[in-house]
Amino acid sequence: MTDILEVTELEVTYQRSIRALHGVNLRVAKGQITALLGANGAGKSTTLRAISGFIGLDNARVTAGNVRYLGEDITGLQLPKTIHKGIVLVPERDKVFTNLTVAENLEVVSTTRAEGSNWRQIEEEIFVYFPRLAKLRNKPAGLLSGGERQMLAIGSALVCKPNLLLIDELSLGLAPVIVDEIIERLRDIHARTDLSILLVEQSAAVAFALASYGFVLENGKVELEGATQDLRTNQKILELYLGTGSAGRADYLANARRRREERANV
Amino acid sequence: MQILANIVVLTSLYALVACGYVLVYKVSRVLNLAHGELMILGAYLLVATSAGIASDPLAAIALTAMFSIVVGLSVYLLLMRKMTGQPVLAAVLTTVALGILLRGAMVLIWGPQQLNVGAMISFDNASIALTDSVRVSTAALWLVVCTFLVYLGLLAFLHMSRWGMRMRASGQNALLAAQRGINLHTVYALAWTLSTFSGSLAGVLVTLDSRIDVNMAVIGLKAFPAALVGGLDSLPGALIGAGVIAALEVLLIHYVNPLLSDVVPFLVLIAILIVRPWGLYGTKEELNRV
Ligand SMILES: Nc1ncnc2c1ncn2[C@@H]1O[C@H](COP(=O)(O)OP(=O)(O)OP(=O)(O)O)[C@@H](O)[C@H]1O
Ligand SMILES: [Mg+2]
Repeated sequence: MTDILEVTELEVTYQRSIRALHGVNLRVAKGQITALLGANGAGKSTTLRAISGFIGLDNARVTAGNVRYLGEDITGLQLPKTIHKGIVLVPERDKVFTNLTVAENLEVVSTTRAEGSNWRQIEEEIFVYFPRLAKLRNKPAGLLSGGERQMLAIGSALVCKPNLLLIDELSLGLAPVIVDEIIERLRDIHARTDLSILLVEQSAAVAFALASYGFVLENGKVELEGATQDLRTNQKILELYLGTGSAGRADYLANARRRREERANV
Repeated sequence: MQILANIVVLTSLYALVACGYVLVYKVSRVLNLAHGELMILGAYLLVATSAGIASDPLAAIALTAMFSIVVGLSVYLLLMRKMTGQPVLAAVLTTVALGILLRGAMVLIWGPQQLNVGAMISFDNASIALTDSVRVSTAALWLVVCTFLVYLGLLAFLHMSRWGMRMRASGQNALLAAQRGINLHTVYALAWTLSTFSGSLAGVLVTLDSRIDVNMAVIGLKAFPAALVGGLDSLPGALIGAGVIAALEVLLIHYVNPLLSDVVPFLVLIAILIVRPWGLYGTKEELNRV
């Protein structure tokens, strides 16, 4: 199986001094869903941001290592060039334009598609995956629920025609029913297209439900990797990194709740 | 009735100038403090065009409009582009420097004396009787019509065209805009161009109604409260802000003291900032970013 993405010894520095990644190695197989797990501050978002490209505002730089995409070295390539190559990110926070309507959020993207494409048709394609959005067409995205926002964010990323979709925190802050629905949708999308997905998750359960291969990140380094069925049965790993052991589980849930509340308060 | 006409004309002027502040601020959070100077530069461009190239008033104005687009684009490409990703304060200070620079350059080129642009392009600024008792000048009438058209055009552009949508999106979240493939430089260049174009138009029309000298850049400063009253990021807000300021100014000049004219906008500004700091129509949450 060939890899669509290959990250080797990647180091990223914020503000010229804060080192967030210390040599990350990972691969995403073509047409597969790969998970990237890790605790808070492990560097998951930074890894995704480095792959999809920084902008000047981020004040972040890839200081070592490289990123290869479809065999081509794209290390340090900035937005929006990466989009036109087919690498599209669903960010962790602020994932929709709150002042635009649902339909406008889909139309606003700039892609390699011709400007004159039939947008009605493109929208309909997205609404097939997320029928819920069709009813919300003219509603400002700022009024959507968390789950609807996540669907819209994935939808507008899909309009960019990705080959490689990077999703940062798929399930964070969402109710279990909604998470199940979105997992179902992603499976559906993945089955119908040849999309490769790199999925960042805090929930091992969600990651294992979708991915076929996983990496565990800790303190800016990949500490573990393996096929998900191997990771799933590795009790020691689960306790150590994901807190799904009996004591760790309670911890993890408390943490997750605290994070959710923190976000709600911002 | 004449007072009402005066208010409408002054509202149009402030609104046309204010939309320039709003466009740039809405999209990039940068306050363009050189807007007044850019506006007057538009009027001086008319002087230059009429002296050298076109003698017909309409042709001269059309050429000036084209030049103002070039000016706006150059300001972004040569100066403000480097400020993308820098702290907003640095960008705002850059516009202050640009304003001072432009003022100096304009005095050097066209001199400190007043010029009668209308006479130079043989523009007939006849006074038109709307009713028996209400008269406005031709240039003032043009100003009202142009402001109306500019606002109509801008609102249609922002809400109906894809690039307008992208401008609104970039203003709300620049990072996400980049992550959705939108080229921020194109968006910012567009905002600066439209802003300078509308500002220059205001400059041209106001000088056709009077004379021009560099100190008229103060109109830019007086229109700024109009934009701020509206909340700085809302076009309808700017229109209403312009109305409030113009009405107060005309009424106070008429009934109290003409000397108040220059302070009224700023008194309104302070009053609004105390009562509703985010303006009448602005987005409330933007406040911490100002
Ligand atoms: N803009 C920034 N400036 C400085 N440091 C940053 C910045 N963004 C992230 N960091 C630091 O980089 C490290 C990795 O952060 P990152 O956001 O990648 O972690 P994460 O694994 O996504 O965490 P979370 O689960 O909380 O989202 C952290 O120590 C964080 O403090
Ligand atoms: Mg993160």
